[in-house]
Amino acid sequence: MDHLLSLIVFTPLVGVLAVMMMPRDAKDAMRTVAAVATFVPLVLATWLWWQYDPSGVGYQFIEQGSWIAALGVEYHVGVDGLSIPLIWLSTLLLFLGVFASWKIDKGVKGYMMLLLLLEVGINGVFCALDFFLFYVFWEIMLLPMYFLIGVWGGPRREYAAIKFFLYTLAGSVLMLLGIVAVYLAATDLGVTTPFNIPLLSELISSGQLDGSSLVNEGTLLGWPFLKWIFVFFFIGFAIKVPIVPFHTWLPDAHVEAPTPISVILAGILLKLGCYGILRINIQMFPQVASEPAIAYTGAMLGLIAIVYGAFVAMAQTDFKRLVAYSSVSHMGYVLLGASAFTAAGLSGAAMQMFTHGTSSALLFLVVGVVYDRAHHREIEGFGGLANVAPIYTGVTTVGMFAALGLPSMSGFVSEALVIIGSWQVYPVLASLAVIGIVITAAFILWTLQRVFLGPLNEKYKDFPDADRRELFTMIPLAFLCLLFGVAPALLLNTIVPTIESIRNLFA
Amino acid sequence: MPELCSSLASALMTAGASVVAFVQDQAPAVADAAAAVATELATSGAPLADMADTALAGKLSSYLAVSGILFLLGLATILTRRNALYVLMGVELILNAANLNFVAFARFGNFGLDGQLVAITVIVIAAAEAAIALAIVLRVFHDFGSIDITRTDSLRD
Amino acid sequence: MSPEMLTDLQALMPEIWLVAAIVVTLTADLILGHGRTARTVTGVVALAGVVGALLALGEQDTSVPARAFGVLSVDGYAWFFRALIISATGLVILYGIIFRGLEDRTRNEFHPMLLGAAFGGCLLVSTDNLLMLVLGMEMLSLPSYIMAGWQKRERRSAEAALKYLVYGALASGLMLFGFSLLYGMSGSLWLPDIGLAITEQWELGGELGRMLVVGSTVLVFAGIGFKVAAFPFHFWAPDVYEGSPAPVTAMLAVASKAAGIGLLLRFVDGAFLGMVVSEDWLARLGSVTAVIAAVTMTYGNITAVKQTNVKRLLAYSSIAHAGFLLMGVAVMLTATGDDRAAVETGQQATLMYLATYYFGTLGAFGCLMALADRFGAEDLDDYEGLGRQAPWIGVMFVVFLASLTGLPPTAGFVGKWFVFRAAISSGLDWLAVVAALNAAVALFYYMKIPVSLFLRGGDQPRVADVPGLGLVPRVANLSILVLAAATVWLGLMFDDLIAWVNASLL
Repeated sequence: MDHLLSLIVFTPLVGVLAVMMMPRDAKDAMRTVAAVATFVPLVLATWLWWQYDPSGVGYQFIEQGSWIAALGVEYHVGVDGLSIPLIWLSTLLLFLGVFASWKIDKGVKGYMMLLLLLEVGINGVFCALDFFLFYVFWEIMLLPMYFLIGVWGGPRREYAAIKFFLYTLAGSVLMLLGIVAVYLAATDLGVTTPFNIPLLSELISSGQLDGSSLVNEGTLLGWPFLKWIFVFFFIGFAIKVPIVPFHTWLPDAHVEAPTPISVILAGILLKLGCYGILRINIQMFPQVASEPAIAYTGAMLGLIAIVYGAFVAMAQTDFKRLVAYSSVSHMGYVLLGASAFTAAGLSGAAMQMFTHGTSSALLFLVVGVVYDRAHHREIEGFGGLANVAPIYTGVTTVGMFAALGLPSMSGFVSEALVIIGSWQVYPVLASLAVIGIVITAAFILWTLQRVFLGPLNEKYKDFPDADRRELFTMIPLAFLCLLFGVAPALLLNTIVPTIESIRNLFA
Repeated sequence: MPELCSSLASALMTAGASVVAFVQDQAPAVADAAAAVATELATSGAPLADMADTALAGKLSSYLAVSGILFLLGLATILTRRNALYVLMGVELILNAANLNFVAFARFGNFGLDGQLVAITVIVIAAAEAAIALAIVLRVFHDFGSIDITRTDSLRD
Repeated sequence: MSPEMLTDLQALMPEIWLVAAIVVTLTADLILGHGRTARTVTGVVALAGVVGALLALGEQDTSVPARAFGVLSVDGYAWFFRALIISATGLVILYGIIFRGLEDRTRNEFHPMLLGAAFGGCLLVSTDNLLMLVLGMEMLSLPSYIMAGWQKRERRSAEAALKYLVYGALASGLMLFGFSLLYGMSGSLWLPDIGLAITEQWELGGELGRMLVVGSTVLVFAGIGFKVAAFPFHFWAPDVYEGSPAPVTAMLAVASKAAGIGLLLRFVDGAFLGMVVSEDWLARLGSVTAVIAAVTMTYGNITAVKQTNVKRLLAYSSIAHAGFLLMGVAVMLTATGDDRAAVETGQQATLMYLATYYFGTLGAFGCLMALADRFGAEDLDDYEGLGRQAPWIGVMFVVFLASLTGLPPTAGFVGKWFVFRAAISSGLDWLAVVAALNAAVALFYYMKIPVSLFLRGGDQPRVADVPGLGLVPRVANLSILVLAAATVWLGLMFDDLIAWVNASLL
């Protein structure tokens, strides 16, 4: 399997072409094709994880070849312990996403094509080791997501789609400026492959590439060149995460997006921003990232996201909006942990990406089920659903407990690692982050109580329990929440060696 | 097309009057500037410096003065008039100013025939342009009942 | 006939094909009248002329620059622009054949006009002689004035023709006067001689000499700026683009602009970057050009935001693209002294941008015309829901708009990449930042079209679909599809494009 990664990335593209050729009315056939086209990458990604050697150094499954010779652009993909779990998660969520989309009846053809195209972009970003390739995949995700929200979304879909688009694009333009600058600095050094991410990381972290050929003495307006580039990349990724001042697109996008798209958005797209911060900001610019002021700012932003997100989530009356804000809060842990640069903090951050990917995806599916039945999402409008839908309630409880970080759930492990890791460096911030955990626990339990417990709301006495298709999408995620809570080593075995190699950059 | 003819006639008359007034006002200044340009060209490193006879430079300056006046008149017409015919006449003035320059430079700079060739070509082009222009102006008049370029406003932001 | 003359004629084969097609279409129109047969014959002949011209162009070997008849350069640069202009004309002819806005009675005469304009554009981009420049410019402009007013029943078309004519005549008058001053300075009609004279005047001519240089440059740039619709000579563009028939607008936005850019680069390279370079003068001209580029793109984009007529929106966006094209020129001019590599970076950026702009704009106008033809849709409101009724056109429209915005993986991204790279590498960082902001603004208004096409409107067909005309519309749609495929392909595989552009540098 020399081309395993390429197969994972481009199999959905075959699905796109297949769906394109099918007649507009063959809806079930198109759904089946989409399911197959997402199942194959899932199998391949499982095989990939199985085959991955955690003790190996550097990237594995590398494919490298010249693409645009004139610019030194390469087709260069590879994975390490950071990207493998995320690739696997994304193939899983896309596969489940197709089933969650089974009931969508409007424009099935376009929907499935966009969904599959989205998967190409997502997996491409996680694999790409060439900046140009990375950027192309990054932007490939943009239009499908825009249309998926804008055409199949809720009542205010147009506003939400445009907002999502403009925020994301503003971020990627900044990122592009960073890429161009690094590219120019690298060509001035005589590098023949000036987009090669591992090579650039080496050049920058060893101090050979400092932009002195581009700007006077490597400083621009009083700041070192590399610091500017770092900030460009950081803002670009921060918008995607989203980190608090840039987060306002997220609730709108989530609320308006159809359920499967929310699942993918929360489960995977947010992780792309975090992945970028870990892969580019920290791994490529370790000196800048570990500057005390910058690291402290990062930790501070993480803390603000944790606490602010939790408080705002508590104030929500819309179930989906609540889950959306809880995502803002949870992504704060990633930043807080990453800014500590301790083994526990970084591993916790990497693991949090995965665990939040499972728990938030599950919660959005849960919200989707409620919305399908009741056609509204007002938390106050329900009550006592546990009486009529016990299985559904059970699954929901697993997701919620994973989200609030109950011991033996996956969220507990990652959040505990983040808190422990950051305690060693920022004791005050870490102890304040505990407030976030408390509030999260409060609003989640409160929601659980208002929606599922207490006396049954008479309006919903015929509320059907989750059907087989819905259970098929939710059970695997619930299982993962439990699995990695009980046996976090399964995940950490893959992550930790890579984290250690990143930490060596700071030694 | 009586309206068109009368507007054409009045255009010609007003243009004539404004030429006289303008020349009286501005001619000395333009003539001075032209003389300076000619001397400049004759004394700096440009090919004109090869001219042994500075008297030629003097003659050139009077041609440049006339062409400068023509150019300014043309520009003034274009900027101040809203009637499409005036504007096109202004353009013709500018073209002729350029022609005069070409011919004068060719003659007094001893540059060969190139300049005169350009002038002849431009005359032909100007004729073609005028033919097209009149056709278009007629059509606009037919559609809008006016050839005031500020009053044709079916297109705007 | 002497052998030299034969070689010279060989070099002019593409133009000869165009002229032959003009003659034949005119004759056919005379003999056959306006009937269906005549329309078929003229259409086929016009397309055959373009295909012949392209084939003749394909046979030309420009690896060694040559001259034809003394005044025409047969080099890679001319080849590049001629290929763009002639192929764009071919597509416009195709669009013209199906476009219902043109009356059948005058369809035959439309082809010679287009071919004539293409002929003028070809002359314009392959010469460094002032007389030839004037001829080429007018040969391009005069038929364009007529074509702008082609729709006899449309008031707006007449108005567009008048505005284009008045401002166009003014621009060429100013340019000609500038030429006459340059001629006076240098005693020559050749750009390299003029370059020498400009340097001499600037260095030795004192106050007045400098004034002369500045004055003549401003006049010439006014003429060229008009052709490419750069601020502050842009004001004709929105009205003319909106009022002209859609195929003509496509011609103006692509072929005419390409010719203007071709002229500008050759002029800048010949007259300002000749053997003797006056750095002081170039630095000033370079910063002025950079400012003009920034203002042009900002003005075009910001005004485009509030447009509701799609054609007008594209017109303003095309002003903005002129700004991006000028970025490369600014880079050429700011390159210091004998740094030929920097000059080439700027040139390469402009040519790359132009090539990618070509696909995006021609395609966008093709889609616009298809929607106008099938649904009579002109405004953003009319577009609501059409994307679901005509998904192919809608999706392709999105591809072209993504390319014009500069999103990967489309050709437009590659073009933007090159101008950004050129600007940053020559120290025009501020210009790159302005351009980046502009790209974001452009996205905002370009997205209005997909929003209308796909996000708005009910599920029920809102506008009646006019039945197609048969074979020709399918060919036209196919050509749009080819453009869309090329747009995506060039966004991913642009090695050959780079090689081609590098072989086309002056």
